[in-house]
This record gives sequence, C-alpha cells and structure tokens, in this order.
Amino acid sequence: MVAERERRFSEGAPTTAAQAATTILEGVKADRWRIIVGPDAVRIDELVRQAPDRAYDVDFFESLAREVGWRIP
Amino acid sequence: MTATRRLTAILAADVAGYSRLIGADEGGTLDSLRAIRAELIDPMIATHHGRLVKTTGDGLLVEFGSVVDALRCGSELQRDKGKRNATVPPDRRIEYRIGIHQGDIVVEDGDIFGDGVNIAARLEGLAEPGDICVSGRVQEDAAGKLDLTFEDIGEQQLKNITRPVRVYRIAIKHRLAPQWGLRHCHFQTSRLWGGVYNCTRAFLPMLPKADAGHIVNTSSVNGFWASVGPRIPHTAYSAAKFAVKGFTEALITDLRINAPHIKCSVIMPLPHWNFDSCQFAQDPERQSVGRNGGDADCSGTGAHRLDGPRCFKFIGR
Repeated sequence: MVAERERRFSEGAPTTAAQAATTILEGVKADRWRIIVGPDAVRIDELVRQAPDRAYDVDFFESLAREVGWRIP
Repeated sequence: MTATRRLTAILAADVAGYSRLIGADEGGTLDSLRAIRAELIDPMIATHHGRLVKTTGDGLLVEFGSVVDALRCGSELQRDKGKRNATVPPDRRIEYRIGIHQGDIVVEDGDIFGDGVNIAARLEGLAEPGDICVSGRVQEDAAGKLDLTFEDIGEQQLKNITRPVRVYRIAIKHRLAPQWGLRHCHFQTSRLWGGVYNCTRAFLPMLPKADAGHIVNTSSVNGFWASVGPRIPHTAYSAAKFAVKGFTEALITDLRINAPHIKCSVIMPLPHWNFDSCQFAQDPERQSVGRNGGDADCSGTGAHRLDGPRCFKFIGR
C-alpha cells in the first residue's frame, strides 16, 4: 500500500519538490503573504474565487479534474 | 410449474461501477465479490430471514417476509461494507446500491416477477453508492421502528412503471465518514492547527530580537477549498487548514502594528504535497536548515530567522 501511494504521488504530483521549494522561497523573499504552490493549486484558487457558490458542486469538481488531468475518485 | 402470488418485501442490490472495476482488475474484483458474498451478504440474509432469489454478475435479488427485516438487512449490509471500504483506495472500493420495495409479486419455480420486483430494481438505480432508496410503502411500514432517517426525495417516474412512486433515501454511507470521528478530528486539529499555533507562539518572543523575521505557515489548497472530491468527506483536515490560513491572515495586521520588521506567509499547496521532500538544504543561501521530523505537534510551521548571516530554519510537516 505504501509503494502504491508513493507511485501515485510521484505520478500525480504536477510540480516537483524543487519547483515547490523555489515557489515558496521566492514568495517569502518577495514578502508575499499568500503563496500558492503549483499550477493546479493556482487554478483552483481562481475557480473558487470566480464561483464560490458552486465550489462544492459535483460538476465543479469534475470540470476542474478534467481541466487539470486528475483522476476522479 | 405453478405460479402463485404473495405480498413480500423485495431488496435489489447491485455493485456501483461494476464495469469499471472489472475493466481495471477482473480477477481481483471477482475474488473480492466472492469473498463479500461468503463473509457478509449470505450470512446477513440468513440472519434477517431473507431468501436469495437470484444473482447476476453484479447484482442480487432477495425477498423478505417483513419490510423491517429487509431494511435491517440492507442497512447493516451497507454499514459493514462501509467499514470494510474505509481502508480500501477509493478507486478499488466495491459499493452496493440498494432498492427496497414492498409489493405483490408472482412466484414461479423459485424466481419472482412483477411490478414489485421492477420497482425495487428501479429504486436501486436511484440510490447513491453505499446508500438505500425505498418506496413510500416501505417508509410507511418501517417509520418509527428502526433508527433510520428517511429523506423524502419526492415522487419519481420510474422507467417502465406506469404510476409515479414516492421515494425515500436512507443515507447510510454518510454516517460512516471516518473524518467525522472525534478522535480523528482531535488528531488533525492538534497536529495541523495546534502545531502551527504552538510553534508560532514559541518563536514569537525570539523573532522581535532579530533584525528581521518571517513566519511561514503551511496551510493547503484545503485552506480555502474544503474538498478533495465530491464523494470524500474531508472535514477535519480542511477545518484545520482553514484555521492556519485565517491565523496567518490575522497575523499580517498584528505584526504590522506590533512588530513591523516581521512578515508572515501562508503556503497553500495541493493536499498531497509532501514537504519533507523539499530541498531547502541544498539552497546555498541558507546556512542552516532543520526539520523537526519527530514531533508531530510541530507540523506545519517554518519559523525563519533572518538575523545577521541569514539563518533559515524550516520545521516540516
């Protein structure tokens, strides 16, 4: 089960650890209080702000999942 | 070959997403289904005085002499199945949809036929995986006799059934969400929120003595969006991460007024990020990097001192 989780994590993570670290350090250096890591996290933020009332609808998640290439649980 | 009629309670069940499960792992799925039949379904039917009429690849049809027995069997089956599924990855879970109706049926050679059977099968199709849908007749007979909540979802026009049928939904699955456990909530709250709060409190007296400082708190995408999918409860984790984000946002003004040389940031990655793998130690600008891997109560906060030659301390999740 641990190996499976490692595999899913490695294959599913769209941003490498190094990229994440760079995003965080650059954000801290620039004194940004809000540091969102990864393009899919940025996209979720945009979508939730655009349509907060729909953020927990099934079709909101499915549309997002299709857009960023997630497998739907 | 004699056909007889009788009034009976009919339970129809089928496996949600059967074709997907078979497509992904035929042998494993069939082995699992055989085990579920032998260990769970057949004993449950016997306990509640039911009769297994027939099975199909992914479904089964059971009759009971009593609506209460049928409901007890269906709800206990869903509860037990839910508990078993709690440790199975979502894409491999075998979940049943169940429909229950009471009606007049035709019995012939051990098989059962008629509108009553068809209505039970259509009700099953309306149920969410892990839940039960019943007809108005079942609800009327069982109301007050069982610890179940019947949610009226109105009259439904069922396929090939002439008259509309009033349908009630019994949400079994939602009672099983592991994140609702108080113990789990306490664990997540103390680890994800308490760690951030306690670490920040511990470092605050030291940070004002430095020329500059930066508090970095780890929240998550779940700090502004409490979801990892529409069918997975995520309450404890999301609540803790919302708290981290709110705390950091509130600190912005607090620090500007009381310690303007200290800044703060909140990091919001996807929930599956593992910050243990971040390569802070390889950054030549950072002289010292530590990770507190042993103390779960310190998770989620990096308190970064920037005094003199820059000293950067990161406390991982």
